Amino acid sequence: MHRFAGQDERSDMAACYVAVNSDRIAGYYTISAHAVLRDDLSAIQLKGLPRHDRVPAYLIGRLARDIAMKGRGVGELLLMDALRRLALADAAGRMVVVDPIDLNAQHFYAKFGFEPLGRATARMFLPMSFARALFP
Amino acid sequence: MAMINERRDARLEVRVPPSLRDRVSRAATLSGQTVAAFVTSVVQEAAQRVIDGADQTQLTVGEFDRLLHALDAEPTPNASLREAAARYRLLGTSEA
Repeated sequence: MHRFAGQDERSDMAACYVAVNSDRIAGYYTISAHAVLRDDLSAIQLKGLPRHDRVPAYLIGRLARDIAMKGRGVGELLLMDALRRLALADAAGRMVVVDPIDLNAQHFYAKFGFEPLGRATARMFLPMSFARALFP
Repeated sequence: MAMINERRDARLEVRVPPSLRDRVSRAATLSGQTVAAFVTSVVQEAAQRVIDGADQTQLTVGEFDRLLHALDAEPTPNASLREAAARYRLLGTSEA
C-alpha cells in the first residue's frame, strides 16, 4: 500500500491509500476524521454542551478497485488494510463509517457486519472494537 | 468562517447557459441583492453543507442511543469478517 498525497491530504483532511499490483493501480481508499452527532438541539440549548452528543469516528469516504480486478478480493483486502491501519492508530475514533455508493457496495459492507447508521443516511458503521479484536 | 475580514480578491468564474444567468439575475433581484452577493451567499451555504456532510453524520436521538449501545457491546465480528482478516494477515502487508 502506498500513501498518496492529494489536495485533500495537504490540507490535512483526508488520507488516501493506493494498492499497486505490478505497477498498476489495483485500488484505493480514503480515510478522514468523522463525527456522528445526536440531533438533539433542544437538549444542547437547554443544558449547554451536553455529555454524550458526539462520537468520534473514521470515515472511509471512498474505496474502489480497478474494474479489471473484479472478483479477486481486492475490495476485501483494501477494507482489511483500512481496518488494520485504524486499529493500530492511536486515535479516538470509536467506529468506522462507510458511505456505500450503491446496493452492491451496501451488500459488500453488510457481509462484513457493517450496519446502517440511521434512516436519513446510507452510511453504515462497524465498531472499532471489532477491528481491534481482529488486528490487536 | 474567516470570510469577514478577508480580502475579496479571488475570482470564481463559471460558464453557464444564458437562461441560467437570467434566472440567477432574477432571483437576485427578487431577494434584493446584487448578483454577486446572491451567488456568493448561495455558494457559500451549499459548500458548507457539503463539507459538514462529509465531516459528520446526524442521527435521531433513538438512533444515536442504539449506536452507543452497539459501540459498548462486546465485539462480535462475523465469520466473513474474521476470514477476510485472516486472508489479509496471510498475505502480509507492504507498508509504505
